[in-house]
Amino acid sequence: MSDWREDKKQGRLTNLRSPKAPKSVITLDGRVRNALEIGRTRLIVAGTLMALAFVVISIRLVDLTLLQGPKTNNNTAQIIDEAPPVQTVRADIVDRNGIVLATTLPTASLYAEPRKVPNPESAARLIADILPEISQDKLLKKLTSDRGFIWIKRNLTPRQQYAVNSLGIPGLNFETEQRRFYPHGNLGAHLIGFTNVDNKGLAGIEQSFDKALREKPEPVELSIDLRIQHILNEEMSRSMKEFSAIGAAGIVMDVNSGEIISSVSLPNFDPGNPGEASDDSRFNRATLGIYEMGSTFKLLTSAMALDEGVASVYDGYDVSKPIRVSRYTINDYKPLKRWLSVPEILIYSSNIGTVQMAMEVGTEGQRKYLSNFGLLRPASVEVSEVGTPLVPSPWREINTMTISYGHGIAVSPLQLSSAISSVVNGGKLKPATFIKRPPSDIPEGRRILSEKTSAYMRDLMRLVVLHGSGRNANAKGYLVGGKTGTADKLKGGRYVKNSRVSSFVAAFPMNNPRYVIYVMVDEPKGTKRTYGFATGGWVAAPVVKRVVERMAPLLGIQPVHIEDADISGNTLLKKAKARMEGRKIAAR
Amino acid sequence: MKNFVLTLWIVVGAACAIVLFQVKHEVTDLEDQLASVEYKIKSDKQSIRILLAEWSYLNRPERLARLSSQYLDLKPLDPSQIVTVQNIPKRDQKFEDGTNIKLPGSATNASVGITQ
Repeated sequence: MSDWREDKKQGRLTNLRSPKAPKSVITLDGRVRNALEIGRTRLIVAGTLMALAFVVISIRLVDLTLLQGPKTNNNTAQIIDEAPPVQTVRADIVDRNGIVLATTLPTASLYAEPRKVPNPESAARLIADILPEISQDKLLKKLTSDRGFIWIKRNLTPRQQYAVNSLGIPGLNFETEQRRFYPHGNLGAHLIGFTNVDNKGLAGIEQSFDKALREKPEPVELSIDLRIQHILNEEMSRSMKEFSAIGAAGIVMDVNSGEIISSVSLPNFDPGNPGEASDDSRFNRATLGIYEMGSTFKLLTSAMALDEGVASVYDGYDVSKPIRVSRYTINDYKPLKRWLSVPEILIYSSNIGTVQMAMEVGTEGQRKYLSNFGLLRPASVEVSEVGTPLVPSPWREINTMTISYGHGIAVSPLQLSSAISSVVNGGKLKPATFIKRPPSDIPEGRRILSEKTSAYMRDLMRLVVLHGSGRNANAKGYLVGGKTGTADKLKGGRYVKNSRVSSFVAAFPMNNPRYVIYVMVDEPKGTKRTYGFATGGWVAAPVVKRVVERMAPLLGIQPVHIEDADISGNTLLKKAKARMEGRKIAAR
Repeated sequence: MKNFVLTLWIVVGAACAIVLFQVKHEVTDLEDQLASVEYKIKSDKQSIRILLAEWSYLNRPERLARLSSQYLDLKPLDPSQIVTVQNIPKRDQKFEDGTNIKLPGSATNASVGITQ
């Protein structure tokens, strides 16, 4: 039976098996038919393969859209979201309380296409009203010229931009530019640093965190507290002015976390316009400058002597004779010519007594302790402006002697502040940082001194302020302890009188120290009020006092009744008082 | 039958086309909305940046100190303004002239002067 039948409706032959397929009418036999059969088979095979391919694709499509759909979808969306957005805005720098210290603002620059400005005269007049620094005549000349494009002013303030925009003059246009802006100007300029016109960091945190600021949108949080920074800055400026000094440096450090709460270097500069600042004002005295610290080193010497056990706080030394070593003579500023106890050596700042303590510790011991205090290598902090300490080489006996009272070694204020922090905080050196440390991330620190030594040192520092050269630092209501330091400056290899660095290093509150304050004034000159003195006790100690009195209420430190707190908290005072009572009873 | 199938396909095709066209239209609409919202977010963020910077600028400690001394009658806290609970006299405690109250900050005790 044939597959083909006549279809009357369509007027042609139709295949019974697939009625839709039109088919040629001719039936063939033999060779031609064979060829046709082969062609058909091939078509079927090809068709089946294609159909299979489509089925596979459909299955995959269903799989992707319905089965795996939502998951895959999410991933793609996330990838798009998380793909590093082309960050054009440099991230902010903020202080520990989130106050913006450096930010990037879009500024508009005004340009004109003179040919499109319909009425140049009135346009020039209106623009000159808004931008008073532009002369109306010059602007008119520019606007009437036949050029296609002229800059009128770069970096307008938002208010100026708004005003120009609302003029609605055709032919005036804005080009947006990004500009780094420092709302607090000179405050903390050395630390924050500055950028160049392409917003690339050139100094301070701007430089060391350049990559992070560029790539991450999160602000960099500094350990600085702007309020304290302001207080320190203001009080130091006042002192610098009063004593006609050439510079000053100050640091406030949290002794328990190693965070630097404030770091001031004077004179300072405007980071928004660093090009106009002199090299001297751009120089960071607090971290980059290195100085012979003078008597503040006596704290370190007595700490190592107490810690090594070569001296106890009840021991004493004969300071009646100057020490002569080869051609050097070591004498006291105010010779007392008698036997002094260890607390007295610090209170009266005796060089002779300190040298004797250092000699008992020995050269190797001194070197070991100073190295542990981190004074022999550059401080490792987050800025590149770090001074390399000047250390004697070779380290002879005479060096040991002079270093004991802070001469013959030069370190940066930052290094000394860290070292003193470890002296008062229970004997652990915490690495200093300019970046805020969350409470969970405070390093354990390395033990340098025993708890007991640290406790004695706190008592001794308090005694210096109560009875010694640091009296001017005795703040009202807060237990301040510290040590003065006055060092003649080395110029051309010789010590110059009347050119000195006067400093004071303090910690407070002394019964449970939280902050170390270091203040240094460079080349102060004595005044009438100070009877011509320009020593650390006269110049730097009052600064510390005022800073403590102003910052303590801000930081929530409870004031105490000074006399009571001294007696109950200071073991040495307690013992001395008991001994006095004992003597009184014996005398009766 | 065959016509019916053909018509069905045409109808289905047309419906698909209409639905597709509508979906496409909606997507374009949404995309426009998205773009405008994104632009708004961007410009709001920009404004926030500017306002934060201005806020920080207006809060310069030096300016606040100046304004405070100009308009407010406030003074820095004196340690003697703070008294601990232990140092507050008991209710039944009798006061005589010269009773000592320990105020923080003072090196010596404040003496009570009782005025009738």
